[in-house]
Amino acid sequence: MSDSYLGFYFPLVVAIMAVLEICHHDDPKVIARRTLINAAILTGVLAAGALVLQLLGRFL
Amino acid sequence: MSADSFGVVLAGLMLVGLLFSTVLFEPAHRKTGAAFFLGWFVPGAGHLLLGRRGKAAVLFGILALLYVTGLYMSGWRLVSFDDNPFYYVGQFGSGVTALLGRALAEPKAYPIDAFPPKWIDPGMLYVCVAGLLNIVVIMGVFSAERKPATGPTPPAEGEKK
Repeated sequence: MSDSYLGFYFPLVVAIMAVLEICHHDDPKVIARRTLINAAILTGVLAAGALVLQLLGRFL
Repeated sequence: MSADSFGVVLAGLMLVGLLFSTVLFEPAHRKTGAAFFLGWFVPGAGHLLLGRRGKAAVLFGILALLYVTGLYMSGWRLVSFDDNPFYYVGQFGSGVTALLGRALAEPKAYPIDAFPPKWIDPGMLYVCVAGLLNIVVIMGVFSAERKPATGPTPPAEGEKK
């Protein structure tokens, strides 16, 4: 996996989260805040999973 | 049934559903029924029919941008079944993408010279996600119906008027 793929990841995740929030909320501020929070949480979970896999691969 | 003919059958079913939504749904929900089927053809059109112009414009903008970006990265060729069956099925999430898939049908998607060849995979993914997200959007017309488009919030039950 090349680093250049990260440039495609963030717009895609933000677009997905934005559509999901727009369908549930009306206030633009709430939509923007929840979109960014959810995108950050998803990114964190994925990064943590990748880190665990990296450590498992290195030490096991 | 081939994958291409599935797209035609699906478009036909949605068209019949749109025409018969006045019969299939109860009088109070007929507009929502029509919005459901119309929303499949054009992303955001269902919300527009329900009077939610702002949401319709934003949803259409996001999905169209995602779709056009994906098309640009994959050389203006849509995902074929041979490229990736899963990405291909995602195109059927909206009528526009399904019909364009037939109109622009090419044997294989290919990257344009300006981009590295490996960018074709994210491009196809963008096209697929644009179609799949429209399924979420058309499901959203049911919650859009329950909320008032404009005006003050109605008083809660038991609240003094």
